[in-house]
Amino acid sequence: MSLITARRASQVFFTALFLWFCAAATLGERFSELSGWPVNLFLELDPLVALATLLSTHTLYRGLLWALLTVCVTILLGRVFCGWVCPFGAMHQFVGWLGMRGRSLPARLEKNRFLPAQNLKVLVLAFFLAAAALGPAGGGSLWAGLLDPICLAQRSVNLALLPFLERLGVAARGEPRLAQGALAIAAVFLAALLLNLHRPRFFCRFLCPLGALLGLIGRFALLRIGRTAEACSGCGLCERACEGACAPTGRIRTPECVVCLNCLADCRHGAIALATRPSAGGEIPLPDPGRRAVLAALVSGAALVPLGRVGGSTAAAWSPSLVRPPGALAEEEFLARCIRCGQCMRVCPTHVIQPAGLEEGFEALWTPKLDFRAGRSGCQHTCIACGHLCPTAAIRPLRLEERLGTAEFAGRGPLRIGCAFVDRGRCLPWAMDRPCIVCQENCPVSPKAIFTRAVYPPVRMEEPLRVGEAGGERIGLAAGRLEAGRFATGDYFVQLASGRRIRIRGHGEREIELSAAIPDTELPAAGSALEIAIRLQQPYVDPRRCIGCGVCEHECPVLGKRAIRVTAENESRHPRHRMTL
Amino acid sequence: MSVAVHPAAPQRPSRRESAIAAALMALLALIAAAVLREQKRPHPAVENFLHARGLAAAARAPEPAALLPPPEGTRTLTAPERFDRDSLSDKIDGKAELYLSAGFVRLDCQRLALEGDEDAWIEVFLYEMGSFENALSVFSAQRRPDAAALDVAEFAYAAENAFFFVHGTRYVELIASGAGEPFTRAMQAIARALTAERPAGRPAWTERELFPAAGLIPESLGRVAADAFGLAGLDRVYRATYRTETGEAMLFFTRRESAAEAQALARAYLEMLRTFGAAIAPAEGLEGASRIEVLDTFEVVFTRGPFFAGAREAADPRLALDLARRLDERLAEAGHAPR
Amino acid sequence: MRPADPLNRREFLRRAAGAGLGIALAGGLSGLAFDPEGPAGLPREEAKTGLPDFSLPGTAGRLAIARGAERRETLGLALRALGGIESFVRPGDRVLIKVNAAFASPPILSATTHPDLVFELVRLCFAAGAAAVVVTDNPINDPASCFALSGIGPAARRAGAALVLPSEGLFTPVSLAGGSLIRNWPVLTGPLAGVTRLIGVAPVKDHHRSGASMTLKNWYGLLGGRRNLFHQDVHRLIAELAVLVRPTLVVLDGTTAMMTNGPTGGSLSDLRETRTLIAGTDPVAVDACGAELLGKRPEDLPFLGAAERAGAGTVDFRRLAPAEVSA
Repeated sequence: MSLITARRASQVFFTALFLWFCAAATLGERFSELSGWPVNLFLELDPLVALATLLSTHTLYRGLLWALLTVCVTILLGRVFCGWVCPFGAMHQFVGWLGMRGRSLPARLEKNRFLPAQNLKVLVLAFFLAAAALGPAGGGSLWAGLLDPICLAQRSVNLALLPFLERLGVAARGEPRLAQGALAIAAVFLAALLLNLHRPRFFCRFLCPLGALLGLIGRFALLRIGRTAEACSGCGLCERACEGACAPTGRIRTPECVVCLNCLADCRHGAIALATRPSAGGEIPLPDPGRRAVLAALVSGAALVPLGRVGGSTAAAWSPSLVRPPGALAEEEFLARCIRCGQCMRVCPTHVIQPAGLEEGFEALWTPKLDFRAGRSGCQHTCIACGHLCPTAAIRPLRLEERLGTAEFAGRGPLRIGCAFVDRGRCLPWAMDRPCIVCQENCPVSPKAIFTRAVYPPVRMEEPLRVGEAGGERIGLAAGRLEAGRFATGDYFVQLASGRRIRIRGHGEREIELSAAIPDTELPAAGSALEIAIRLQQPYVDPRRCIGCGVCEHECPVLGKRAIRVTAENESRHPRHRMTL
Repeated sequence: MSVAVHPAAPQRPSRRESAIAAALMALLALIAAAVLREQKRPHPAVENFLHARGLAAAARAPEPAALLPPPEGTRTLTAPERFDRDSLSDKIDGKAELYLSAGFVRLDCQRLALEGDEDAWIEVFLYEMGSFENALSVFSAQRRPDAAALDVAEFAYAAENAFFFVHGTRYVELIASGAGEPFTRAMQAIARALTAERPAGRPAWTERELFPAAGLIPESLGRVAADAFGLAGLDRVYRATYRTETGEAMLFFTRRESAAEAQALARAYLEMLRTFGAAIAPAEGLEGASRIEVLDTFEVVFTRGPFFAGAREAADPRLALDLARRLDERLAEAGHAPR
Repeated sequence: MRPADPLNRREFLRRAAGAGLGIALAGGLSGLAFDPEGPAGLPREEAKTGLPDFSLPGTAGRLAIARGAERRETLGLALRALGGIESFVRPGDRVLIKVNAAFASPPILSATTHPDLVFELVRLCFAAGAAAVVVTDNPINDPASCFALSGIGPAARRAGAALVLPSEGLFTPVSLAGGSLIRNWPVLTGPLAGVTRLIGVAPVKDHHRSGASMTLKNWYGLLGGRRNLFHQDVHRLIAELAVLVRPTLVVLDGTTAMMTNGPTGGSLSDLRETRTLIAGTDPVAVDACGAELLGKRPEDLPFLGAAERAGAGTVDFRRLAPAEVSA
């Protein structure tokens, strides 16, 4: 077996593993569900995620320690992660291979020529690292997640590809999930893949900040690709399928080499070797983006975070519509950790966690946001899955007791992610004279956070009703008529002048049957006006009880803009957002 | 240093290359095995998911045990419910505090229907209060004014549609969905079943004997668990109302750990009344006692050994003094008795 | 295998050293930064507990009521009845005067501490040998305008005091031990640095939310943050403030009392000439006494009883045998 075959097998293996982990990240104990799969493995192996969070939080959270393995392997062997492990790299390589099929040798050589623009990825890296390191409070923002290949691929598969497949009927469990903003996420993913038709491994060569980082880390790689002086005929065949465009023919650019080993197989003269000694053709051990360009990237990255927050998005002008998952850290600390990988959204059993779009500001793009319309329900108050999936603890792992405010957390009360507000202009019993207590019935906390107060306003009638004959449990109408069945729902009452209300049990067009007899002394006089009252239970929210789970918003029958909506007010993660004492 | 891989014939991998490739394949297999092994260990998110699902299932499951076997003429209507200190307000929101401050332990309740009538039912509330004194406290705190005597227990009364009584360490309420003979009969049967099922045990409530007998209205005996008469710290107070020719008044006492503590409590009590504008003077005829005039009523309060005691709510100062002296005599006798 | 080239050997050693160093560095750094637990949940309470106690031993329960229309005169009388300013301010003391400069309104509306009173108090402190006098408040309106328009700023400067306007850096989170509202809350502690005496000076005002604003409510002006949350439970808050802030002395200016439409007032018809200035070391007693000027009983102001129960002072001010003096 040749090393090329081994590399291909490795790429297929890791890509399949990656896709499997994405698909398996749904809550459940079956083999095809989360059970115990280490679904964060690739994110945790990613040194860019580790380094960026290290810069922004000065800590290395749990599984991110796995990145040390990647770092050590890269130090010894160069960018083998890119050529052998990275699933996104494998996808690029595959699409690039499709694009190169049938092309002539000169065309191939041209496509795999090193271009100075490949230095751009170093600038991308510098930009992201500066943004991570230098926030307003020392901790920056994890913008790196936007272009980090693992985060990008994970997000695209989780939030666009898998929901799309579900919609097509593949591997759907029940109703297919809704995925907000899938188009934009898919567009980036597809664009990155399609660019390979222009040049193989376009993303890896020009944009990938992880590749840039690994290229720098591999500066002292002990074993590397190089040319032996004596055997080389200068035919250039070795660049025929060079994935990294690292120019093995001439002075090899080691930071560009992804150790694909294609040159090794393509050389007819045995002049290329994976060796410990330097290449006979000379080596360029470091990328050369230019000092000024690096400085500019660093400065713009460092300026970006404070500039983005000038509007006060993490201070006074925080967005109330940005309801974060339970356990999410206070916004600044959250942004210092969130890599926009979409794991929380993938695992959420009700799919209420959705990627935020640009409406929450550029910095919040594709970070988790609760969307109570898109979810299958609200945020289940006995669920803590998202925090246990989050690879960087932007959503920290809660214990159920903490979420519910029991056991040692009893003093703090339950964790609140927001608070529900009744929109009295849209609520049926508040604005439309229609009985409805759906939100109160569905409120899952105990005691309920939503309570109702009954009012009995008179019903608006097209024509006034006048009493004909009245006695016992019956009232005949002398004038006006009743719409068939409308008042027999149990919510309607006859309002007597004495103040007494008697429930309507049934009615004909001209006759009303009551559920109790009218006392003789209170019988309405013939010819007097008859008033029908409706019992409306108008909902109120008790902010001490409301945890912001949004089940009420999800269930509200006013389906467009709901008549009860949760916003981030009163969320526990931010004492400054406190609304009540 | 040597060359690691140097394929002389590019088309055929060298033995060394094959060996390395095979080793790498073995590595992949190893990784696959490790991942599969990891799959066996439940993820914390899944553990909680299963746990929460189990909880939900348990919550849906009907409670098997009945509160009591339904006496003749009744049958079980709903499953029993149980509430603890955390969940009590789910059942009796607004009044929970009354029970919680008096040492509430647990509430069990269940509805029984009268045989042959779906809409006629009685809800049984068993408040486990931890002690007879606590049960008596919540009993006396809620005593309805239009109460009728009831013989199911020593401390018991009936309203038109309900029975209230203390049984052992439990305070029991039987609340019917209507009034009338069939309900009363059924409530009698339930009360008998409850008291027979578990003997109360004679409550060790010797304090009652300390109240002078003459003029005592028996059903007025009661205990206040906390914050008696609006004074924080004045707890464990026994009280009783007396009816005499000259009017009605209340006697109360509380036994503290020491005489000093009783005196401190008395001082705090007087201080509180003073802020309400009470006129306070030494009470002539009872040594060390204070005579208080507040809001047109008279009080005489005093300490005797570990007791802080007095007469309250008397329209006539002489009545207050007379009752206080009688109570003082009883307390003086008991002052040396062991608790 | 070819014999090892010495040049290559050197190069390899160089690289091996670099790689070894890199691995050691990465490993060491990862080990140092490794955080298996993750971030703690709610923000840690970094708050200081309580504030220094500025009350002077041996001066407890002193209370004086001075009648008269001229503030500078009645202040002098009242202080003399308390034993003179010298018993509160000693040479070398650094005094902080907490005024009520809540609104940018003119002195004539009596919504803020009167500038004459500020001037005289500062003057007396310096006369008693104070090394420094600082005047501060965290007003509701823009601080600079409040101090300027209320006349307090100019008066304080004229008398030689330093004015400290609130700014973010001057607030630190403070918790009151046993408190339920003042927990980890920003308090204007900056001006307290190095201070040895604290004097509160406030006018007598009706207050829509709390019933009355006097010397206890005046400490509200030491709070920062979104303090209007506290209006949900203002009586308990004032009682907690009474425990948190233990002043050397408080002066309650009832020369002109705002009887209605407080705390802002706005009309002269809201005011009444009550011609009384109260000074003392027990703010609860001082406020209980001041309540009478508003025609209120202490029971009408639940924060007084709550403050007393919390051990902050005495509601029954007559028990303190107040010295009554007239101009």
